[in-house]
Amino acid sequence: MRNRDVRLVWNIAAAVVLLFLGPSVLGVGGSILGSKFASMFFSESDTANSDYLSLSVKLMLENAELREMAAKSRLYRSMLNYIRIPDVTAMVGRVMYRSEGLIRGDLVIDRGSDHGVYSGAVCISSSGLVGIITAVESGSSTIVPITSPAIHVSCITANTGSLGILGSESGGRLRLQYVDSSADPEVGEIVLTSRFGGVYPEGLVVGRVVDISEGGRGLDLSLAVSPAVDFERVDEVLILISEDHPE
Amino acid sequence: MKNHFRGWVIVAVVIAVQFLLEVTLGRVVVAPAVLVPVLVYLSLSDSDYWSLEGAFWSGFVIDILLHQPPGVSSLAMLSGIALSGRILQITTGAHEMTFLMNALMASIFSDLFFIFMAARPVGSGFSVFTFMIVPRILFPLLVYLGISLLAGKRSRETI
Repeated sequence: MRNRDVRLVWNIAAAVVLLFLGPSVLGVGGSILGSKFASMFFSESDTANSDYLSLSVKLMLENAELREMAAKSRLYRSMLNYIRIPDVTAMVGRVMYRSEGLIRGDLVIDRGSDHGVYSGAVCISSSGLVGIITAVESGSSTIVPITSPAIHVSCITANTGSLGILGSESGGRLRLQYVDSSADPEVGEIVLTSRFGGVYPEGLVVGRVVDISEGGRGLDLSLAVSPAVDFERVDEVLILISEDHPE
Repeated sequence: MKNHFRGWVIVAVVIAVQFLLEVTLGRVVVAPAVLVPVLVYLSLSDSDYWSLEGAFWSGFVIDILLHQPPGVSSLAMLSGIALSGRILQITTGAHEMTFLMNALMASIFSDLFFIFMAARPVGSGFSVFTFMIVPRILFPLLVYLGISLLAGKRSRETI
């Protein structure tokens, strides 16, 4: 082999080696040189500014997180104000979707038996009583809202103490029926759950009286009630878990 | 050992010119290939050093400057110049057509090798744009030919 051919082979071999190892060698070499000579091109103040910049971004992110937590905390506090029974704990459930119902869709939430939810647990929101859990899966539950025809709640008006049974009408309206005609209820009164019935804790806001009329037989009164909860918009509920609930 | 300082000065200038052409004309249309003809010229007129070590190191510098995979241009130029030399082995001497044929073939092979090896995956770089190497290679050689002809005419007129 001639000298020229040997040199050609060596140069081609060097080029092939460079092709395969070049990026790694350049990368490692560049980082070594960069770490040694970075101070020649970047002053201390640049580094300090960069540190402050990253710190401010970190603080902005932390602030956003804290603001979100504060908003949630306010909401949960307002929800928890409704709980006046000592042996009840509360759990937050997020509404995943609404099933199609005849009057108002049932609400499906992301808490189920795995989280301690049981059938018959009462659900409230920051505005008032939402409904009752009727079906429980391992990771989800179905809430039947109080606007469903299947739900009847023993209620009392806040000012005059007019007792009655709350049921639903078509169109998502509520009606407090069988109210004693001598009770003299007023329009605008807040309607609360009563201590009777045994299902719902006492004192949960249900709605507000908007109209008063005579009952079917003329012996009692029937009050039209506007629900306190906007069932179309509710997205988080508080599930009241009783400590002595039946498993 | 022969001193190649003068040759390296020329090659350094040509590398700078090639780099400037690649980052200006190369971005718009196509950059004329001037480095390979110069290396071929130097190897024919000076020594084999320029088709071997010269091609390797100038290719390496061009790769670094143009952020290409290091070694690709070296390999392309080494292979291209060597292959054209083999093919034109029977042609000897310093006749101008020898240089032009050598430079033309070396440039064609170099560019084809480059396109073959620089693409990822290897060999996938050929397309209709491959024909852009024709003006890239022909332009500097035609300029050289034109200058040679003019210079020849002037020298004849002087005589």
